[in-house]
This record gives sequence, C-alpha cells and structure tokens, in this order.
Amino acid sequence: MPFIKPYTYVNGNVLTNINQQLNEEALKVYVNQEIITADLTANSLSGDNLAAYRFISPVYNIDFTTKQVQAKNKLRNAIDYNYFSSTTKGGNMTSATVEDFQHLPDTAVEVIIDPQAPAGFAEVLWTCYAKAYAFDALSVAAGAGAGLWDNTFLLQIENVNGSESRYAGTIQYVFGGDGSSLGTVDPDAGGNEARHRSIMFQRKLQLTAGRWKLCLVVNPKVERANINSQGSFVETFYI
Amino acid sequence: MSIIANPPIIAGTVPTAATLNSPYNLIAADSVTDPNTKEEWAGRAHLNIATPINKLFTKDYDGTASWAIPATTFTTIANVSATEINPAYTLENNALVRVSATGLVGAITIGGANRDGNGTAGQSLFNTYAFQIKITYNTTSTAIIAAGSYSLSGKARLTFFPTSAAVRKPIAQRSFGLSGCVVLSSGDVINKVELQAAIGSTANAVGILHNHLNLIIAET
Repeated sequence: MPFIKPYTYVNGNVLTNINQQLNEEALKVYVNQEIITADLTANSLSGDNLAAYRFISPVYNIDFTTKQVQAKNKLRNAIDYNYFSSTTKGGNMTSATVEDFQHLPDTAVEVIIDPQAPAGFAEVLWTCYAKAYAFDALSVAAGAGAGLWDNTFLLQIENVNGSESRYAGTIQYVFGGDGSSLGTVDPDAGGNEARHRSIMFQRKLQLTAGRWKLCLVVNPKVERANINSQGSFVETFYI
Repeated sequence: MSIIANPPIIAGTVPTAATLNSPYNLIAADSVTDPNTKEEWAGRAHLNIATPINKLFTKDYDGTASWAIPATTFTTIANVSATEINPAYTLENNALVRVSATGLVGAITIGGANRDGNGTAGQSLFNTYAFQIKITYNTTSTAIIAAGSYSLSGKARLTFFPTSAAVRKPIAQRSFGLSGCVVLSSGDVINKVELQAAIGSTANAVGILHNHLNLIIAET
C-alpha cells in the first residue's frame, strides 16, 4: 500500500510544526479517499464499491464506472424519419457509380474518448437498428431483380479535424426504383420485399482520444426514401 | 482497511515516538476494505486498466467473399477464416457473458419447385435458414446462447402452397442479427465462441457476406 508517512517521530527529537503538518496533510488526502489503484489489494472490490452510473439526459449519455453509453433511441417515435434523395446528384442522378454519401442525423452519435484512456485509445462497440423504406417512382411499377436501384448504407466516422472514413464491412441496402438501374447488387424479390428493409449491425472500432461522430450515411439512387432509426448507441469500454 | 486506532495523547505526558507513529504505520500497512468506506466510492481512477472488468473480444469479416451455408446442421461461418473467438479466458468471478452477431446475407437461390416448402410437415424447414452463437467452455461443455431463423422468401414457413404454385423470389441482400447472454461461474474457462449457420434444405443456397461476432465478458 503506497501511503507513505512523510515524517517518522523519533524519541528525543523536537517535533517541528512542519513535520506534523506533513503527516496530517498526507493522512487527510488519504482518508478523503483520494485513493489510487495501488492502494487496493487485488480483487478487493465488489459491485457495492463502484460508483453509481450518471445519466446525462440532455445528450442521452450514461456514464458507468466501467464504460460509457452514448445513445439515441426512438423506439417510441415510430413516425420520425430522415429522408434522402438522389436528386442531390444533379445530372448524375441515374449514374451507377457517382457517389454522394449523405448523413442520416437520426443515427448519429457523438463519442468523446477520455484523454486518460489507456494507451490513448478506447474500444467502442457501435450498435444500430433502423428501418429503411424506398419509394418507387410514381409513374412506373417496381420490378424485381438486379435492375432495382441499390441505396447503400455505410458506417461513417468523423473527428473534429474533419477526417472521414467509411467501413465497407458495414454495408447494407434498401432497394427501389423502376428496374432500370445499372447496378449489379441483386435484391432478387422486388416490390415491398425490396423496398422495406430492416438494418441492423454492430461494429467494433478503436478510437483515439478526442471527439468522434459515428453515423450511417447513404448513397441514394432513388428519388425519395427514408430511414427510421430505432436505436443507435455506442458503448465505450474503459475498464 | 480495518479501523485504525488513534492512541490518546494525555495532557502533561510526553508522547512516545511509538504512540505518534502508530496510526500512520497502521494505515501504511493496511489496505482499503469495506469497514470505513462508503458504498459506491470507487471511480474509474481506482481501477486497474490492465485488468478491466469488461473484456471485449470481436471477430470481423469485412470483405466481399461469399460463404455458402453447406448443411442442414449448424456449421461455423468461414468466409476466409472461421468467424470464431478463442479467448482462452478463465473467469476470476461469476460473469455475465454477452454475445451478439450481425451480418449481411448475399445471394439466395431456391432450388426449384417446392424447395421453399409446400406446407407439409416434412417440408416445414425448407424455406428457412438460421443462425446460432455457440459457446464452448471448460473444454467440453457447450451452450447455444442465441439463435434466430429467417425465411428465404416472403412466404411464411407454414403457409400451404399447392405444388403447382410458383416459387416466390427470395429476399436477398438483407441483414441479420442475433444476441444473447449466459451466466458462467468463477473458474470457468471460455474456450471458443462461434457464429454458425444452417439451411433448411440443401437444394437451396444462401451466401453469407460480411459478418461480425462480439463477446463481452462482464465480471462481477
């Protein structure tokens, strides 16, 4: 145990006020529970000892001793949508290759990695559940097969310096349109089975200290579609 | 730490060094325990980051290779290498073991008439594929922590269709997900956690694309 007595009393020596103050100050710091890891013997803590969680309601954060959860959940808000559209691509609207990844703010979660995180980074696990729906163009009937337009969702992370990166291993789709796409991704069944899609995935990331934004982005290929984020939350494991 | 006695200092009596040193020496020799701490006193700064309470293990396949579900019995997914975690971890205390998996199903082929099932009991599994998360612990013990099944097409599993009815097109390029938890005991050794898949009829084909398996051990 690293509590070290600053001054050792010795018989016959005159005790100075400084020495006595040093001892009392050290003891005060210690008994006021400014205790560090090394003060504890191994496996001496139980759940009762751990500080209770803090719920930070304005930003939907829960701060546990062992981890943090940053979340957006709208399970009881079933008609709140983010809309997206390929019309933002202008003259490239029907291109199979031109990309315009748009943010879906309802899925966005800000994560703050503590500068005290071990090794300067923390492991986070992002979980997202959403329901996507692609409207067909009004004048044509939806077909089936590879001709449907594939609207591509990906996880994107950004930091305050403006860097962006997307994770190919999180790709998901919702399909719609008139069956004339040049895309090769084949949803097979068309109609409602292609344009209604549940999207769910988890991805572990290692983030360095600082502020990060994690959200779904979409490269739209239909005129009108929407997504209803049922839940989006990030668990940050510190301890 | 236990209760630390504070020897009385009596007026008119010169205290000895032993008397003055006593409370400090007792503290220096002791450790923090329950008798003189409040509940919930320990924060993040008090815990050893080298041996965290939560252990997170993951296996991610982010590529584009498709893995075909080979059998009606559960087989571990392996696009390039097996989607499995081998933590070889011995629990220090009782633990809540949490697992989850997600991924993308690619192309699906229904292998002909009635291969999506005609509604009779013998064909009730034809229009399905399924996933499970299997844990192996203490070398030989196993448990299925999470499971879930999906239909190949929009047809319900037990809906009666005459044999002459057209097979409906399958729903491809869709996501899957499952999660669950199990409580294990102090001293148990977690050897392996696997994401597995099975198909209701081998006349059909289901390809699995990117997939992700997570294991979180929360010790008490």
